Amino acid sequence: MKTHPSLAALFLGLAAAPVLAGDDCDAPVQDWQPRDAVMQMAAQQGWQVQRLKIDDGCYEIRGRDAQGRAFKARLDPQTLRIMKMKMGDRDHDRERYRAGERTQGGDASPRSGDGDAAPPAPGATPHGSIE
Amino acid sequence: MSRPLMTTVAAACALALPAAAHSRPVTIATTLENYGGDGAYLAVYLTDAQGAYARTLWVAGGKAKYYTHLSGWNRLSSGDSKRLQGVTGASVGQGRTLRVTADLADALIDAGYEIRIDAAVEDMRDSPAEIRVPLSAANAGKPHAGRQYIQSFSFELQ
Repeated sequence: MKTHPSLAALFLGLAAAPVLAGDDCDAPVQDWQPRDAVMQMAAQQGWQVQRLKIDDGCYEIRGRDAQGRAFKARLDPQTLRIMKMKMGDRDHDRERYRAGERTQGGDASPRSGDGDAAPPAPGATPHGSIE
Repeated sequence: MSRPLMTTVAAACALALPAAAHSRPVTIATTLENYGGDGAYLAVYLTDAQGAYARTLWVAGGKAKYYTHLSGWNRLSSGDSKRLQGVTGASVGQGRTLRVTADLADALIDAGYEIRIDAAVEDMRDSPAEIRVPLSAANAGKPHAGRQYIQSFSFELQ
């Protein structure tokens, strides 16, 4: 069978697509740090871990940070570097979503985009809002 | 109220008040141009008098894979494992204003520190340190224009 060059290019493109997609981690399994190391790193950060799982080849932690705020963090399984961190409560997010309060961009933390700009108490963490 | 209790309360107030006076809220407003592209990723951070990284104030845009495009901030802050803790939000659409409120120690003001903003937009040119404004009382309230994506920038000390 003779393969048309444009068809071959299309198949190659489709095969390459998953490699380019998303925030996936691609560390080989033998280089992964054990779960204990993740828990130790979380303890050093002052986090309370509620759930530790593996998602898209990365470690994913849900819990509360040293200030007691809910968060979700994605860690590189090889270096344990924080690749992504989202603040906020999942249930609270769902309620906001149901109420139609979708923030611009779709990747907002609940602290962002709520419109107010009240000065924080001394020692508080920064606050951002988009107008 | 008993005397020991009053003494304790007075001592607590005396210790707490100077601590509160050592920092002040700073509001940073950044309005974007209508540049004709997707939402911008912005990193708002502080550098010291030597140009070394001091602190991240806000990162607008949630996907870590794009942070390399905020090249100045990404390079300078790479040693800070807590650089993203509690300071991330959505990317900022064109024409919109990002308002960041942070608590800064008095010692940082008029001490050579700079507020810097790196900006990046998908499929458009990266703009590291598009804003570089000294954190001084004299600069407070004055608008500054950016080079590419930022129409105006100003900060207020409270």
